[in-house]
This record gives sequence, structure tokens and C-alpha cells, in this order.
Amino acid sequence: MKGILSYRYFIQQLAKVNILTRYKKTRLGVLWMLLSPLLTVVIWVTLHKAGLFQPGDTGISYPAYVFFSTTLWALFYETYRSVSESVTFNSKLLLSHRIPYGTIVIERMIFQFVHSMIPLLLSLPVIYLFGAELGAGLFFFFFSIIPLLLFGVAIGMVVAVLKVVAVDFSNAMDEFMRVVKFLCPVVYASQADLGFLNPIVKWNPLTYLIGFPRDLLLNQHLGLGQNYLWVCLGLCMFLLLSYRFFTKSAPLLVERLFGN
Amino acid sequence: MDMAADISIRLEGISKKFCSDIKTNLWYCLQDVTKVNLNLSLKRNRLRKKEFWALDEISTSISKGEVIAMVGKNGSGKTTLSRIISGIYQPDKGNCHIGSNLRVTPIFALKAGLHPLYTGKENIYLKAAAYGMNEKEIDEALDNIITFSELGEFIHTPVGSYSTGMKARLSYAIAMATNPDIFVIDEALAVGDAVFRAKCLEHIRKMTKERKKTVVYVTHHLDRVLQTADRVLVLDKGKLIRDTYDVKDGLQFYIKNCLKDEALERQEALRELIEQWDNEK
Repeated sequence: MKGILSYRYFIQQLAKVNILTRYKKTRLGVLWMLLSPLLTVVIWVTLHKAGLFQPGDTGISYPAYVFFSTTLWALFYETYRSVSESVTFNSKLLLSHRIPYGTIVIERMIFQFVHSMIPLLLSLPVIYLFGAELGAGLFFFFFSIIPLLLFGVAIGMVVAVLKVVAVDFSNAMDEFMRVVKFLCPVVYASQADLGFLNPIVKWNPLTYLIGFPRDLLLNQHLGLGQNYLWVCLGLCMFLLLSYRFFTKSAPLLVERLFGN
Repeated sequence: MDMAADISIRLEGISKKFCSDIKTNLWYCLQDVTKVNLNLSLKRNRLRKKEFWALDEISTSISKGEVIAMVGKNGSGKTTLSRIISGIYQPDKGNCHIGSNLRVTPIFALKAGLHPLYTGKENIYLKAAAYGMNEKEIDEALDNIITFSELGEFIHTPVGSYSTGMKARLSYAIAMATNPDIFVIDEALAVGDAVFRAKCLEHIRKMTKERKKTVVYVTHHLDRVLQTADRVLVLDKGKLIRDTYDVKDGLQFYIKNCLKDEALERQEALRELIEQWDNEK
């Protein structure tokens, strides 16, 4: 950690450049951060109106529910994706500079945190306009999403290694992560009856990492709290193991990065 | 291990293996990743199928104030050894000792760390930070970097519009601002205009002679070796086949042993270059 700390200015510089680079050539600039989740809502509302889903009782209007849930999902998924690309994305840098490996993970976390927090903050007035009551849960909500972000980081660090040495597996993992969105209550309510998928949803940690903060904010409801705490406990251990795996493996990856 | 005060780099039996087949290489890497995470021995001292020694038992010491030129044909192991000295690669066998508290600054790919959409000045902050400098240090060095790079008003235009030579000037100036104790240059001075190259070579000489810094550089350009090097290391197929302070002898050995498959005219031209330099000296 001492090595990483001495590189904090580099992390700050790299994150700033990478956050702004995506929009450097666009006219709308950072507005794209908002347009992407809005587009997702449009797609899901259209699918819903077509009668494709029976989402169950979502408590608030369905478009607001989906909009907010997909924004939370994006916080997890985009963090996972961003951290999982940390080694391949920085391959030239790693082949030409001696940088503590943890710095590239932290930079990717900051990069994605900025990208995800802006739509999340903008989603609050949107769901308010849809009739959601934002009460005292708002303060605790921002703390309660930290484990969701860290879960994305933990899986991302494992897949970052696999993206170099086991590309097929990492591709399969990317596809699987897209499917996982439907195996946790993002586009349907926590109580929705999904038949044979019920046990999978029940044991999916994302059910609690997404469901608890959402229920806390929208309904001031703590029903998933106990399971949420258990998941957070397991997540702490997973995060430590994942970081150990990443830092022990990274030196072996650098010399295999020539093709990236 | 303790090192004599005047030694900046000591290489002890450095070996590095690579695999000739990409898929096999990744399979071995997966095995190694698994082993290292289970705290099992990697057995790095033996070759597996399709592996070869890119560096084989390299041992030498480099003193402070020396300019070392590494020469050898493509694939001889020069870049691999530079990366080991820079701490980017780990050796499979042996040890690379760097003197305590010595700052190593490598320049490999000139474009690495430069973002084409950002101005030269913005890139100074990013690339210098990648070398471990903080904001205050960069602020203090900024004027010197801009002056040394000779980019003038171009420092405020995006790097994407720069020529290769301009990028080289910027990269070199930033690397120098780190005030390295050991400067590793891998063909970075192969591009750019002759005047700036001459300025860099002069700068390298001053660094080593006046400030006792160490420079290790990889090149195919024998004229640059003749102009700056105190010592020549000749690498061939991963082995250190000549290590000499007689630069002329080292280069003649290189031509005779490593360039024997080249056209005779080219070999002759290189020998003449060496003789001409020797006469002028």
C-alpha cells in the first residue's frame, strides 16, 4: 500500500484523463453519462408495455423502479468491467513503467465511480418526479452502495488476470455477467415469482447488494438487511482474496502483455 | 545483499525464459498463476516444452558514472535485460541488485503514456506522474521540461499533432526531469532530428561524468555508441558474449560475430565508421 500511496498523484492524473477522454471528441460531452441509462429505461419500458414481463409489486411506478435499479446495476457491472480491463487497458504503460499494480485498479475504480455516480445522482430527482418518497434513507443509501461497488472490484480483479491468461473464460464471464442482471431483482420486484429461478435469485449476493439500498431509499424498508450484512461479511473476505490473487498474479502477466 | 558504494547495478546469473507459442505461453502462465497463488514452487530454472532462454546467465556489475551500450541483433535479449534492470520484468533465475535509494527511469516506447488528445503540457503532468513524480515536483520541473524539449508554443497543442521527433523530445525531456540515478534508454533516441539527438547524447555524457549517473542504452546505431559509451555489452541469443571497456574492440567483435550474415558492404561500412572515429579521436 505504501507504493500505491506514493503514486496517488499518478492515479489522480490517469483517472482524470481517462474519464474525460471518452467525451473529448463528443459535442454532448459528459451528458452521455445520463443518456446511456435513460436509453436503457426506454428499452425496458417498451418491453414492459409489450407485456413481456410480470415484474410483481415494485412499490413505485415501474419505469422509475427500472430506471433506478438499472442505474444501481450499472454501478456494479461497469465497475466490474472497468476493473477487469485494468491490465489489458494499461498494457503499454505496464511494459514501459514500473508502477505498483494496485494503482491501475484504484484508477479504474475512480474512473468508474465518477461515471456511475453522476447518473445515480441524476436519477434521484427523476424517481422523485415519478412519485418516490426520498426520506431519511437517502443519507444511508450512499454508504449502503459501497459494498456493491466493491463486489464489482473484487470480481473485476479476478477477471483482469483471466483476461490475459484465459481469454475464453473471461469472455464467457463477460457474457455471464450480462445474464446475471436477470438473476437478481433489477427489472422485477424482490417478491416476484420466477418459478425455477427463485433459488438462484435467493442465493445471488446481488439480490441483497442491489435490493437493500434500493428498498432503503425507495421504501425506507430494511427487510433484506440481515442477508445484506451476511453478504457484506463474505464480500470482505472475497475482496481480500481477490486483491491477493491480483497482486500475486500481475507480475507474471506483464511479460505476456505484448499482444494487447 | 550489500553492494560496493560505487556500484549502481549488479546482475548475478540473470536468466529469463519465454515461450515461442502464444497459446502454450498462456497455458503456462495459467499454471504459474495457479501455483503462485497456492504458494507452490514455480520451478523457474528448467525449460518446459516450447520455452527458450531469452537471457541466459547474465552476470556483470555496472558502476556509477558509466555509459553502457548494449548491442546485439534483434531477439538477442537487450530489451528483456533493460526491462529487468528497470524492474518491469522479474528474472526467472538470478538477481538484479540496484544500489539503495537509486531512482531508475526507463524510456521504452516513446508513445507510451502520451495521450494524443491532450496538449504537451497536460501530457507532462501525466507521464511525469507515471514516473512517480508528484504535482509539486512537476510544477518545479515544468519550465525545464518545456525548454529542454524545444517545443515552444507547440506545448499547448495536442500531442496527436506532433511528429515522431517532437514526441521523442517531449518524452526524453520528461524522463530527464525525474533526475534519475540510472537511466535506461531502449532505442528511444533512434528517432528525432539529428540536432536534438546530439543534444541528448551530450546531456547523457554530462549526466554521467559530472553527476555520476548511470546510463544503460540499447541501440543498433554504432555511431551513437562511439560517441557516448564507456563500455559495450554484446548480447547474442540471450548470452553476454562480450563485456569490454574498449568500445572499438567491442563493436568490432559485434560486427564479426553478430553481423556475419549481413551484406559484406554493410559490415565493411561499419568497420570504416569505427576506424574513422578512432582516427578522429
